[in-house]
Amino acid sequence: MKRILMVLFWMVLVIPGAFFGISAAAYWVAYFFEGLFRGGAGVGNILVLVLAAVMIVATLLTLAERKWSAAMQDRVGPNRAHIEAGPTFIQKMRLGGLLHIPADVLKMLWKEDFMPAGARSNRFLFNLAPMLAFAPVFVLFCVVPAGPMITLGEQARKIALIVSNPDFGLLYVFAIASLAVYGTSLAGWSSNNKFALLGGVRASSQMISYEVALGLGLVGMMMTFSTVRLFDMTEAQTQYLWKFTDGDFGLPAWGIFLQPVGFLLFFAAAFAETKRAPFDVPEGESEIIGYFVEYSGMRFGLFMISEFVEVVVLAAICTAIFFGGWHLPFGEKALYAELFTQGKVFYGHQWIWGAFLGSIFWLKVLALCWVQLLIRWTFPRFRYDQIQTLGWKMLLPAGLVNVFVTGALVLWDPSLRWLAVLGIAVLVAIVALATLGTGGEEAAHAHDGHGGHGADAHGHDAHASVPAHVSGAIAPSTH
Amino acid sequence: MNPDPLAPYLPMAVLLLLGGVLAVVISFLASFLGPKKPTLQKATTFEAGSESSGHARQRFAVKFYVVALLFIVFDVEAVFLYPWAVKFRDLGWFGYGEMAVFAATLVVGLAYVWKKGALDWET
Repeated sequence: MKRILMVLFWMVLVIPGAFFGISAAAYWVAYFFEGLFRGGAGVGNILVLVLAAVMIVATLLTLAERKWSAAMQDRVGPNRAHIEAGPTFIQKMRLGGLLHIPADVLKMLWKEDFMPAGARSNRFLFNLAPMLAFAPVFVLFCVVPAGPMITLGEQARKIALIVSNPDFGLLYVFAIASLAVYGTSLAGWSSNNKFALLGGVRASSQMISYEVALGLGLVGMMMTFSTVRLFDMTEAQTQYLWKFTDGDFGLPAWGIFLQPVGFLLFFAAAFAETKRAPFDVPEGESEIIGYFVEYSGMRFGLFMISEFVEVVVLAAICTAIFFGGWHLPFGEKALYAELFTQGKVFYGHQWIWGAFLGSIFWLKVLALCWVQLLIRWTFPRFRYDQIQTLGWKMLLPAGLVNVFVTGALVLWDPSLRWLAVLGIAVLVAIVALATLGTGGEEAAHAHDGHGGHGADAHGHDAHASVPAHVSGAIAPSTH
Repeated sequence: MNPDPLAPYLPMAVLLLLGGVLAVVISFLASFLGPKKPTLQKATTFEAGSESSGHARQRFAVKFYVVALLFIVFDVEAVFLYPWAVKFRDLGWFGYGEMAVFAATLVVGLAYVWKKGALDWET
């Protein structure tokens, strides 16, 4: 009971409250900087959105991943770190493992930062590689919008929670994200270690393979909304495909309903770009350890933190394009009219509205980060040939087909309704396959005796069909 | 939204600069703070505890090169799709047909590569 109350307390009050505070701070900092010089709002947003929000979420994810894996494997997870000084209550303080984060950072900073003899001939490239892995990922958040444009303060400045909103929005993401491949391949090569080289070559080959699917996955969204600006894409998702009542209620034109295939392509490809399990053959800690095997201390830390920043940025981009960004699914206009128009409670306090929607954005981002953790700890590592097959023989043709099917439907019906009909049908099919398919597949598997389970075919079959019917999804049961 | 077309570039430039500076500072902070006690053993190439044999400058599978070449072909295709996708509604069915022809030629290429087995990694 106490545990449930704690979880509710965190999920309902603390986390949304923290994001509300961050968004409000972002608005006011941006407002202040805009007063100093033109274009200052974006610079202010760098401070709060990129340096605070993204980095804090990414840092907390390092712990969340360990805690979540522990929960899935029936362990407690990290909970030992504490401060060995001061009064007893400080020494006893564990904070649910939160102190492991500063402990890890301090450990990595104060570790010996040595260079193996083999790498000394490529000293410059060896030093450059972790920087090249970190910097592109760090600057990716630049074009991602995290809050609506509102009018703020006495000078009535128009402020939006976005660092920069250039015409080429998504192209910036593709261009910068593909730079990260240099970091990994240079790290693998310059370490002068056979395993590191293997990891680096695998990483670069995998990343460029999936970059094609990454690009193709989003072409469909560009066609439906006729823009590459993430801000405009988010705004385009406020319209309703169908209104169910006369009021402000209906099915929003979110990307996930219009382009489920595009979402799957993009998500799978971007997941492969982050090189996390099940796509972690470049790292493969149980076989080759990977392209960063010769790096120690904070240089390794740069590789690691860039992976987690990538997780956050991927979740943020998916939120902006496929899940309506900061928008509520419905009722947003009604709520605004009820609270923020002339004579209502919050009239004149638009920052509350902005910060509220900003916290919605971050909650969606957190949910998608959680999905990524779930995938990371659910699936075993793919073999390298499976990864290449998935990228070239499945995602690439599927991406091409998706582009042209989307194109035909958009041209046929510019109101996007038929695209949504197809999209929802695909979503239903995917959900049905995911829930019903597991039992059947396992049964067929056991029947053929392919997986080596021939002897215990019956027991295996019965075992596999239980979760398919009870929980219906990949989420583990919580009781 | 942007009356001034150059307005988005200042924050972007600041962020790009900050990313570079931060990456350099963090990695040099690490080498500055940590101890320095190099030993002969520590400097050897790490091979999971066993004696290191040979060196890393060896040949590796040609498939990685093939993938790199294929990547260029199909990524350039994707790059051509972006401007078309943005202007897609204005171009209408004619533009759709044109792009279908362009994509079809590349699909033929993909089919050829597939048939030749350049995408197979099992062997």
